[in-house]
Amino acid sequence: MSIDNLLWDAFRGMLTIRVVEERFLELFAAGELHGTVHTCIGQEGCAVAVIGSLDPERDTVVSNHRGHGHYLVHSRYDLDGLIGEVTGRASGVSAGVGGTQQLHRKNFYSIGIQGGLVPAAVGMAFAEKLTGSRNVVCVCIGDGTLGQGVVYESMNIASKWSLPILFVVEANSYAQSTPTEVQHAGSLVGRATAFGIESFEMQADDVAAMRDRASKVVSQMRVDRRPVFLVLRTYRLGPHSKGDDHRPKEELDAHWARDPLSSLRAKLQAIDEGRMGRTEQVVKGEVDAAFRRVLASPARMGSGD
Amino acid sequence: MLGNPGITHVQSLRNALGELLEADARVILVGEDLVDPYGGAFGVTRGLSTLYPGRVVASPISEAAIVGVGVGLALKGFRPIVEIMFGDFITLAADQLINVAAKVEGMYGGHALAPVVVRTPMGGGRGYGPTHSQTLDKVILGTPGIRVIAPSLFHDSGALLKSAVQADTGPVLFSEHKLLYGMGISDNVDGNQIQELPGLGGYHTIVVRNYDRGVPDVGVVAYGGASRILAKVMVDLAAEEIRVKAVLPASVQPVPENDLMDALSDVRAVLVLEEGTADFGWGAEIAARLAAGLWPKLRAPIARIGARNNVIPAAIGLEAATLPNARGIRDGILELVHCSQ
Amino acid sequence: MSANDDSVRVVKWLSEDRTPVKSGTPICVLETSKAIHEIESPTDGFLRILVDAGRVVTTGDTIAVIAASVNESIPTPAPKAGIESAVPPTHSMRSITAKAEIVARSLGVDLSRISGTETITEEKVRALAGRLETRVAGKVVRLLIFGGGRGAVQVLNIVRRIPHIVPCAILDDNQALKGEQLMEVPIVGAIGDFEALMARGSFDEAIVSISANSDVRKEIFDKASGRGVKFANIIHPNTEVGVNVKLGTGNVILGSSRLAEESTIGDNNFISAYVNIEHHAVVGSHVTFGPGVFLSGSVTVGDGVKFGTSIGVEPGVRIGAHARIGSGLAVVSDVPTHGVLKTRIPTLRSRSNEA
Repeated sequence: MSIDNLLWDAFRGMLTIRVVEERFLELFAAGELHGTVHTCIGQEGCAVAVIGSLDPERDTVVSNHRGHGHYLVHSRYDLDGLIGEVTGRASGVSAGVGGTQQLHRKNFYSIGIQGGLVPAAVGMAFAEKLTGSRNVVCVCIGDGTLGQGVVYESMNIASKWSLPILFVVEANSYAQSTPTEVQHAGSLVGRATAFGIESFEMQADDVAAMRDRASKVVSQMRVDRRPVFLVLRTYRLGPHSKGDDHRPKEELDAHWARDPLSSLRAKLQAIDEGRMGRTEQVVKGEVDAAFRRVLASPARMGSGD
Repeated sequence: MLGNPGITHVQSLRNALGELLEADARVILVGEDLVDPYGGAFGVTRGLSTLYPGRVVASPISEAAIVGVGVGLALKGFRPIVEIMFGDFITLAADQLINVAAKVEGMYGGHALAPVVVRTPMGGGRGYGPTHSQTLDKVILGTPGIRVIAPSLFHDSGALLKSAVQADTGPVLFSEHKLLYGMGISDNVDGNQIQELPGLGGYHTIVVRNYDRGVPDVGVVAYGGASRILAKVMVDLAAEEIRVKAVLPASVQPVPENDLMDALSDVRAVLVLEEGTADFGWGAEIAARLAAGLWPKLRAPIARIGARNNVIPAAIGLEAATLPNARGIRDGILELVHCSQ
Repeated sequence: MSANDDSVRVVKWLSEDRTPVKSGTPICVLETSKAIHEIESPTDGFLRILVDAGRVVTTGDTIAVIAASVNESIPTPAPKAGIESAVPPTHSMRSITAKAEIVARSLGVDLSRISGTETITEEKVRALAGRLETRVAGKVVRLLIFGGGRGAVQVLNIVRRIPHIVPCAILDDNQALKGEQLMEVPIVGAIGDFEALMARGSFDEAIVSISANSDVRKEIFDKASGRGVKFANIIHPNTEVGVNVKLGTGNVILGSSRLAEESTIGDNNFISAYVNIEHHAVVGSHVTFGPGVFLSGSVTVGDGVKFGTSIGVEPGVRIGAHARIGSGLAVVSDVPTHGVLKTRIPTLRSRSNEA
């Protein structure tokens, strides 16, 4: 599609994710939701670009605790399923059992254990290879997850057995409260190239550039079934979960000023203000309606429901 | 699944794996050192990689990934059988077993299934030392969503494995015993009478008696490799007029409670035997359930025997004193008979 | 520990063989006739167990050694020709199964009283203890026996073969017998003491063992049952009881007898061996029979009749209450109440009287 339409679609997707995530945080702050949530505020572009380059009917996405964005893109914006899951409804995509960190629908799986599904993702890629399909698996992790040994076991096997799996690292500079540089020795891409895995690293502020890279990588992967490691330099604008944020105000302000969503908004608004206004209105309306619908339905209780 | 006397447990397993590979294209084996000519650390897969190229995959030394890859294959419709070389190493895959495999069906609202079978040999008795001799089923016991199946001396290991692979829809920890591999099914147990109960889900419970007539003096509930020592003790005790009824479930988790209650209905004293440590073990669970179900009939508190609460020493004499042995089992039974007169 | 004990049982070892033990640490639990004792290690060292838990040893035997080093070679004691039991040294040594030993201990059986030289089995122990195979769940009947004489011996002989009936006490008015035992069943008091025993719940059912005196049988039976005592029927297992036989309670029936189909027996009768009560015969209560009495079909016998031995009664004959029928007679016609038929005693002729 034309770059313009791609950008409008991307914006719409990113805004949808942003509004949903902010709404979750509001509900938690108001005491209306239980448990926790890990919002991907500031990282929406990664989901829209990378997951958007896959075919959700045939490709598998394995995500993590901060997976709402990935889920929404892969499910073509199944708002009710996501909201239902986070708010403990039977209509939730995991029937209210998995919660925000354990979402599953068709080819989408997430888990709240850091790196927990990475080997399974490799196993699924192996399955695709054994059946001779040209499907790929995309596993999304954070920079913090690169502390887990099982990720290296998985990369080794993916490369040695030549499996069609894309490792996407959303390097958002923090693992909970710990900055990346405190955790990781050496280079992030160097870890993958050590296994003979082709690696890329790029800034996550340009959704079109990310989409372009991801599409090329995926097309290539369907042919050569080689794994790829893609590091996206992004930033987590929201807290790790809720309220647990001790980052310095100046740092946060500086990054908010460079919020990819705001930048894209400004760019598109300049092109067509009217369309921007309508887009925002539609998105907010859809999200509001979804929340209203789901919150009106009963929450799951113990035996007997 | 009353075994075919004459073949060993390892032969039975190997035959079953071959039959599974032959009959079902979804079956695939993954693990360390599985391929020929080595054929697995205990020879279980010997010959199979040659007969079924591409279906027996040698992995790096990555227990967590081995199990995780198994989960992934299963999610995509394969029937993977992965091998962890020694049961002691399941700890390396504990997260994949407990937080991933066991939880797939439950946490995804019933919309996903991960029928992966994880085979591993537990047990000691060869002087392999503290990190190669344990019975670590209890690491997994108590985790909902995963079965633990263990053939005893009397079970046909291969038949049980086929049940696990073909019939189950969820993950199975298939807990073998190193010292059963070389033993014939139901080996060396002349004089014992064998009977089969239905068990749960195709995993039969076997009842062994060392007497023809009369009421048992003691019921012994045990599973897996400990049955081989128990069988010998029972033959010896028959000459001493001590009537022992052994109840050997293949399903360690979930517990086939109906079989246990039915088989123990004529018993007034019970000993629970396992090779793992007794503290917080399978035996404690069984004892608690049996105490509730058999209460009016019991004439003595339920006794438990397990490994002592130490590391398992490598020196063979020290190992023998740490793991349940014939003398300890015999003494335990005699004491229980005395207390329940 | 009691110096009187010849033998002691090793209950359990508190430390494993070849483990280090310290002076004063309890290492073993022993059981004597009176109590359980914990034995402490006399010194530091390595415990070397010589006798397994569960075994019974004779006082003076070595059961363990505290060795200076874990692998010190310990001479095993010379095996006593297969002994593991509490046999005093004056008797010959014999082997015993572990189960027999456990049962003997539990029942307090003195194994020296088992004769023979072959292995002592559980069955021999239990036979000596007066009971056979163990309790059927829940159904034990504790039997009180009135009368401690020969009739009681006959009753005990039957009861020995009936697993769920356990004789628990005997009552006899002969005070000299009190405190004695008959076939290992204690004689605990006089007949009238049954009320105290009943109040304590000491027995379940009773039987009058007196064989000849039917008046005394009746007196005891009436008094006890009047007070609520439940009476058992003590029937030898090889006596045949046919279909539709109606039987009261408190009857003693010895071996090789027969109650044919459709016969009726009342309460508290003493029926000796080789008695045949034919079909449709009716016998009342408190009747005593010597051995070898044959009642043909449809004979009726009233209460309190006394039969001698070797008697035949033709079909349909009616014998009134309290009649006495002498030995060796054929009863071919009715006998009235209190009637007496005397035995014909043949005359012994001397040679000189022969013509």
